Amino acid sequence: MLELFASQILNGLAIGQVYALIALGFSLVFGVSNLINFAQGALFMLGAFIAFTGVAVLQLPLPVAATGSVLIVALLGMLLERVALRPLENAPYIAPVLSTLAISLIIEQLAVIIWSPESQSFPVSFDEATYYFGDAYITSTDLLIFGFGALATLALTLFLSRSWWGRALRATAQDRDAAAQLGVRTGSVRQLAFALAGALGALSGVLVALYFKSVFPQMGLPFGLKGFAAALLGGLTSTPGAVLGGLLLGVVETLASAYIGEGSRDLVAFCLVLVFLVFRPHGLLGDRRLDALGGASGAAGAMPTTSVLASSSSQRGAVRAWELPPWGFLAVAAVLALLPALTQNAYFLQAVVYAMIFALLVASVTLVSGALGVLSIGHTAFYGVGAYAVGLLARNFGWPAEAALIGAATVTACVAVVAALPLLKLSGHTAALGTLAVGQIGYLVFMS
Amino acid sequence: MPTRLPFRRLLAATAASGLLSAPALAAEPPITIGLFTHLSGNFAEYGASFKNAVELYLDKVNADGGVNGRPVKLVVEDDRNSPQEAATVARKIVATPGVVLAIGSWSTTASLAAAPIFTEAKIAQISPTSSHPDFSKQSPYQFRQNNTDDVLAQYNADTIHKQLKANRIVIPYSQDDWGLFTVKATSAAIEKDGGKVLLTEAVMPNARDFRPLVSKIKSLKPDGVFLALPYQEASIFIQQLRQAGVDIPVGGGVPLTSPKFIELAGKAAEGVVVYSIFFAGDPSKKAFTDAYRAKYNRTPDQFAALAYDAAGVGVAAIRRVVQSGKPLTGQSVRDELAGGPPYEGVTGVTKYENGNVRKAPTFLVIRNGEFQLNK
Repeated sequence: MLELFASQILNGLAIGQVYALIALGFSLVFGVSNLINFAQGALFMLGAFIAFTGVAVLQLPLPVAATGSVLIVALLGMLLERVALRPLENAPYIAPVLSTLAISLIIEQLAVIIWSPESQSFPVSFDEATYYFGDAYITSTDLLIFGFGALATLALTLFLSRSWWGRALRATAQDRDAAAQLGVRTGSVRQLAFALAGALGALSGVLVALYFKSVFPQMGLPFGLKGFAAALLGGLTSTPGAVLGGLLLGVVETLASAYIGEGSRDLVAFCLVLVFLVFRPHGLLGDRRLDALGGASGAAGAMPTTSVLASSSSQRGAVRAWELPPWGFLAVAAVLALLPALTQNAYFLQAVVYAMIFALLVASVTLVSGALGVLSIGHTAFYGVGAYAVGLLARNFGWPAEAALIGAATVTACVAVVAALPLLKLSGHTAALGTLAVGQIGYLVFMS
Repeated sequence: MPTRLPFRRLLAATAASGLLSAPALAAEPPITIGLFTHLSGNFAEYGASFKNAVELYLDKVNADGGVNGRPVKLVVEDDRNSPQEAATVARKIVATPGVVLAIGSWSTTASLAAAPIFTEAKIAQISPTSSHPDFSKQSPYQFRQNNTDDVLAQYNADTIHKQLKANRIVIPYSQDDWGLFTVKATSAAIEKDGGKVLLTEAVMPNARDFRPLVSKIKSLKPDGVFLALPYQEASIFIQQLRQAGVDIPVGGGVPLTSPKFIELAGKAAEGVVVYSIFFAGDPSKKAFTDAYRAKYNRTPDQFAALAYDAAGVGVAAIRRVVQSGKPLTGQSVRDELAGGPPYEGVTGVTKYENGNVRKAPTFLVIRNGEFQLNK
C-alpha cells in the first residue's frame, strides 16, 4: 500500500515537472508585463510541432531540431509581442488578454491546417530505459526532462539575478516608468521577456512530445491551462514558485487520479486552483503584487468594457454605442417573428435562430463583464447547465417544453449564484481566473 | 448558375451516347438508390470509403446487365457527419423520383436523424456502420450491416478471455456513451464466461498521463488488459503500460483496428489482439480487395467492406422484387430485405432479424507493425 503511494508520488513529480516548465513561461511574462499570456500554450504546441517537422520530415537529429524549434519560437514570441500586444500597450487590461487568446486560437487552427488535426507519432531515435524501485519506476525521459528543467530554471535564475539584461528585466517588472527614466529600453525588455517565454515554451513542448511520444494540435490548451494553474499556485511572479506550483499540481492530481478515479483528476486540479484563489490569492511564493491588481478585494477599478451598460455612462466618448430605445427591441422581435411567413428556407431560418442564440449568450456575458467588471471566461459552463437542465426536465421528468425552459433558466440561475459565491471576494484578474476555474469544473462535472 | 449549363449538356450528351452503346440497358427505366454520408470535413476519408465501395458494386451490377436489364443509378449526398444535415439530405433523397432504397449514414447519430424521414417515405435505410442498438429499433425500415454493441461486447470478452487466455482482467474505458456501454456489457460477458474483472476505470477524452492508472494496475497484478478506448488514448496508454514493465496480454475493441493505432503506439502495439468482421489480408476476400485496389489504388477498410455489402444485400432484395413481378416500391424492397434469404458478403453473412445482423469476428494480432490473422 505504502509502496503504491510512493510510486504515485513519483508519478506525480514526473508530470509535475512538465507543468513546472510550462508555468515558468507564464510567470516570466506576467512578472514583466502583468499580462496573462494565453498564447503561451500555443507557443508550446508550436515548439513541439516545429521539432516534429524537423525530425520527421527534414530528418534532422533531435538536438538540432529541438534547438531550431527553440530559436524559431523565441522569435515568434517577440513577433507576438510586437504585433498583438505593443499596439495595445495603454488599452484596458482586458484587451491584451483577449488579444493573446485570439492569437492562440489562430495558431491552433493554423496548426490543424498545416499538420492535420490528428495525433502524430513523434519519432524517438534512442531507446528508452526504465529504472525500477520496487513497484515504482522512472524513465530516462523523466530524467531528461528533469535535467533540462533544472538547467533552464538555473539558467533563468542566474540570468535574472546576475546579468545586466536580467536586472533590467526585473527593474521593468517592478516599476516600468522608473526603469524607463533610468534609461532602460522597456520596450526591448518586454520583447526579451516574450522571447524567453517563447524559448521556454518550445523547450517544454519538445520535452512533452518526448514524454508522450506524440504531438497533436490540441495539446496547447490543456497543457497551457495546467501550466497556467501551476504558475498561479506558485504565485504567478516567482520562478521557484512556478516550479513548486507545478510539482504540487502534478502530485495532487496524480493522487486524485489514483485514489478517487482517473476521471476526477482535472476536477481536483481546478478545485485546488479555486481554493488557492480564494484563500491565498498570491500563491505559494508570490509577492503581494496580485493584491495591487485586485487580488484580495483590492482596488482594481471597474474594467473598461464594450458593454452597453457601461458605455451609457462614463465611457460614452470612448466607445461609440448605437442606442436602441426599449420599444426598439420589441420592434425587432416583431420583425423577426414575421420571418417564417416571408421565407420557408429552412437553412436561412436556422441561421437566424443560431444568431439569436449567440446574441443571447453575448448579452449574458456582457451583463457580467460590463456591469460588474469581471471578465467571465468560464461562462459556457452556465450555457451547458441550461442545456442539460432542459434535457433532463423534458426527458426524465416529462415536462412540456415551455415549462422545462423556465425551469432550466431557474436552475441555471441558482447554479450560477452558488458558483459565484467563492468569487465574491475577488475582482479584476483573479476573478477572471476564478471564472475560468469554475468554468472548467463545470465542464468536467458535465462530462461525468 | 448559367456557367454550369454547357457542362450539364455535355454530361447529358455523354450519358445519352453511353446509353446508345448499351441498348439493352437503355430500354428499361433505371432503378435509383440513394447514398448519404460525410464527404467533407473530419473523417471524410471514411465517407469516401462508403462512396467508393458502393460505386464499385453498382459498376459490377451494371456491367453484368443490371437488374433484369434495368440499370441501377446512384444518388450521392454529403451529410458532413452532422445530424441536421443528414435530415436535410434524407429529404432530398426521398424526394428524388424512383428511389427505392437508401444507404447511410456513417455515424449512429446522423443515421438516427435521417431515420424518421425514410420511415415516413416507406423506404428502407441500410446504415453500414451504426452500431448503437437503438438505430434498428426506430421502425421496421431501419437495417444495419455491422454488429450491434451488445454483440460486440461478447466478442470483446472472447478477445481477452478466450484468445488471450486472461482470467483476471482490467478494463480502462472512455468516458462517453460508447465506452460506458462497452465496459458494462463486456464486463458482464467476461464474468458470465468465468473470468474476473478486477478494475474498470473511466478515462477522460484527451487524457495523456496514465501513469497513476498504470501504477494501480501494476499493484493489482492482473493477467490481461482490455482497452475500451479510442486509438489515440489507447496508443499512449499502452506505451506507458509497457514502459512500466507490465507485459501482460492486451486486447482491444473495434477502434484499435485503425492502422493509426499501430502508427502511434509503435513497438508497444506488438502482440495486441483485436477483432474485425473484415480483414483485407484475408485470402478469402481477395476478389473484392483486388477490385477495390485496382479502381482506387488503396486497400479497402472495414467501412468500405460494410458499404459494399450494404449495396450487395440491397441490390439482391431489389432483384427478387423485380423477378417476382411485384411492383418495385420502397415498401416491397423493405419486405424483401426483412424476409430475404441469408446473403453472403465480404463481411460475413447478412440475415436480418429486426434489422440487425450477427456476423462472426475474425481475430487479428499485431506483429511486425501490421495486422495478421491470429491463429
